[in-house]
Amino acid sequence: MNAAEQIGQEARRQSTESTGAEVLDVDRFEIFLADRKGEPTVPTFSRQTQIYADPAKIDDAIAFVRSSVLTHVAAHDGYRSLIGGVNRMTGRVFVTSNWESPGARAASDQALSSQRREAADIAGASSIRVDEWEVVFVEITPAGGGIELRGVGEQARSTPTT
Amino acid sequence: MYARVTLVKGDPADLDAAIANFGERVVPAASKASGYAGSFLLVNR
Repeated sequence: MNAAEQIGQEARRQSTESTGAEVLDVDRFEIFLADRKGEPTVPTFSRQTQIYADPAKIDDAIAFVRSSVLTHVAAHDGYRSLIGGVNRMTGRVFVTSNWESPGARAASDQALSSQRREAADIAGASSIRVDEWEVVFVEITPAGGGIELRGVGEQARSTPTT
Repeated sequence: MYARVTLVKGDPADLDAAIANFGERVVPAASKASGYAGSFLLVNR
């Protein structure tokens, strides 16, 4: 077990002991998309979509999210950020959009539902799970915030941000 | 980047304490790891 996993295990133990919370799930993801408009703030309001993709179709789904979904999401009023992650072993994919208000999140939902459906179809996913969250804590270090990933494949660019 | 995502469920009455615990204890511990890039906490109240 590497140092980060040891720290995570200890954090889970400490948190459950001090708050009485129950750990339901722990998973690991490769972050394939991290786009942000402006500096991170709290609170923001998230909509998280999860699917289980056909492993053979993951890259096609990622390409669609990076190109079409990002373009559509970022065009809506109140957009703050979009983050996508994939577990290539299980096919689990999440895409989380963040909004400046619950109203902005709600206003974008119907317009983006077709993008969710198309992404799921491309991924070969049979079902879609959508959850809504309030983001109450954000910390992005220079290592995490210094690279902004946008674009598709060879067109992807890394843009230093401040 | 690579992320570890942990889903926990607790009593909503304890949520503020859990948020404080995350910021005061979990994040400082995680940030000591080499390659640490950041943390998010999302809640459903």
